[in-house]
Amino acid sequence: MNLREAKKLYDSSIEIIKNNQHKNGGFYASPPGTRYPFIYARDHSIVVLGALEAGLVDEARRGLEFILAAQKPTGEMPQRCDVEGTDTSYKELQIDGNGLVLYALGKYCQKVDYEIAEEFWKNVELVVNYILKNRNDEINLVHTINSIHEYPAYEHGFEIFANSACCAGLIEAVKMGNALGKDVKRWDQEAELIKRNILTRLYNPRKRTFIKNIRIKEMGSRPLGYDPYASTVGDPDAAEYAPAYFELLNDRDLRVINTVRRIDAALWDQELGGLNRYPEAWNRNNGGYGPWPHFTCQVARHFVNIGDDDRAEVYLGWVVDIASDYMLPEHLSTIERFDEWIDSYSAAGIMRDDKVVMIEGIKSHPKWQEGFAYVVTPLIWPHAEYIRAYKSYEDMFLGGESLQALKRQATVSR
Amino acid sequence: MVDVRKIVSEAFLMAIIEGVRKDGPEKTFEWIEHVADNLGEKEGPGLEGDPKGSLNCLHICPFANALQEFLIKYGETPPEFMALLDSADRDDTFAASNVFCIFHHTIRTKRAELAGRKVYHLASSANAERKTAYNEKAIEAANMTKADIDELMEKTVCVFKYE
Repeated sequence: MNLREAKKLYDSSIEIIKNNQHKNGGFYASPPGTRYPFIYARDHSIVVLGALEAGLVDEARRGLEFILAAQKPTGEMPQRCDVEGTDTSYKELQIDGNGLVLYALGKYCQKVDYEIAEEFWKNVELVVNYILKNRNDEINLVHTINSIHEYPAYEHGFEIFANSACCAGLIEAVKMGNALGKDVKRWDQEAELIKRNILTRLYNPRKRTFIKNIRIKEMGSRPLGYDPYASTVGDPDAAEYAPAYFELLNDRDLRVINTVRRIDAALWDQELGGLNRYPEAWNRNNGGYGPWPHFTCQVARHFVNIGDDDRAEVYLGWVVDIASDYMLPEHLSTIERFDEWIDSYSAAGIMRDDKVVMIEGIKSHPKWQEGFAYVVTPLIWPHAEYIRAYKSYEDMFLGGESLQALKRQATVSR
Repeated sequence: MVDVRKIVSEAFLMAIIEGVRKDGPEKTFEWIEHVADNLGEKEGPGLEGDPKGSLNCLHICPFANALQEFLIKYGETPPEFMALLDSADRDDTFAASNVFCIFHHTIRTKRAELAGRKVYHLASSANAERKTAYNEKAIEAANMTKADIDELMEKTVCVFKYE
């Protein structure tokens, strides 16, 4: 990996995050005038985490204040909102965004102080209660319609990213509550229950991997086996790394190592490099099937955390290499795959008019002339993930103390 | 086997028919508005639709399937729905192309109000015939013409404007 370029991309990522925060505190998913000029609870929370990692404490705080104030009366965090914090959601429930807001808030409190949690404690209670209202008491997992891919066909049910995010959010709420002297014993028990069920029901010991989803149509179906959707989704999906991403398990846990091994083998793009989010055959490949920098960065952190510097470098180095003018796209593809997507959607009669803007953006991107389809550049989320991955990499493999520690460890081992 | 979600929306539509028969369209209209207002309040401040210049649009009507299934089951559009739509016509608030528009636009209005905004329903065409209902006063207030709206309606089913 070109370390100088890696550092430049890190610096650029910080600037991109700063430049894409509205004065009201919301982080755009992509800049005004591009495809996603709104604030999405999921993207926004991860950008807060990236900002925190980069030391942008004021920006992170303003981001948290913004999103907490945008909470709906039901306790739900909006799927997306405008710069005023007014709900402009257009998709059905995406409960992971609720867990993510709590998770980001908890991380902020641990790094800075608990004042903001005290100030917004009512909101914290409302989000927790909202999550718990969506927990099924037969298998003690949280039900959602959409999750990280906004793709109900594979995510409607008890999905792994949504459950890991919500569980981690509850754990953070418990930590905040304890720090503020609140009675959060019940939340603690609930979080433990959900965690236990993620680690058993969403794990397949025969295949030694986490699975994507227990597909269930109605949260209240009882018994669940009679629900019309009742089935499991076991295809490899980058989201199956979620239990470690949200610190429910250590990266060195064998269940995580094997899950990532499977993701790496199945989803690393043999033609373009980088990590695809799910199998091509799921066939929702807007802009053409291809690798996503933010999933690549997430899994790069796993390799860092287990000390696999070779694989970490391949992953992170790929992100550095594909950055265009130090900006990262949502994902990239080839012209051939892009054309295939257009053909298949047009023939099926499902090509939408609003995709025209995206298509124009892809074709006018300088990389098109080089044979690549760059879809939505810059997307802010991958910059936040890059900051987090680069910092981990730097601390583990480039930093003073960590490097010395590793050397000492190596000497002792010898 | 009973599909609860379907039967609940059917029950709502049947209640509308019964309401018009029993209490007349005006009272039923008020009842729908009252229900929608409460639901809008519960949902909280919010804006709908895909921004298109100064207007917002819906590409699909979220209620269209429920209505279509009802009509498949019960036959042609009940006269009670038509009576209700006539009531809506007398009010400059709606561009109601089906009976759900009254319900939906009232929720939209309440949520806009909670967000400190006003919303005008300009046109919709969410009915089996794809026949557009216009709110001419609202179109005029938005400085638009019917031709402008028709152009938009080629690719959308509902147009409204926030102020």
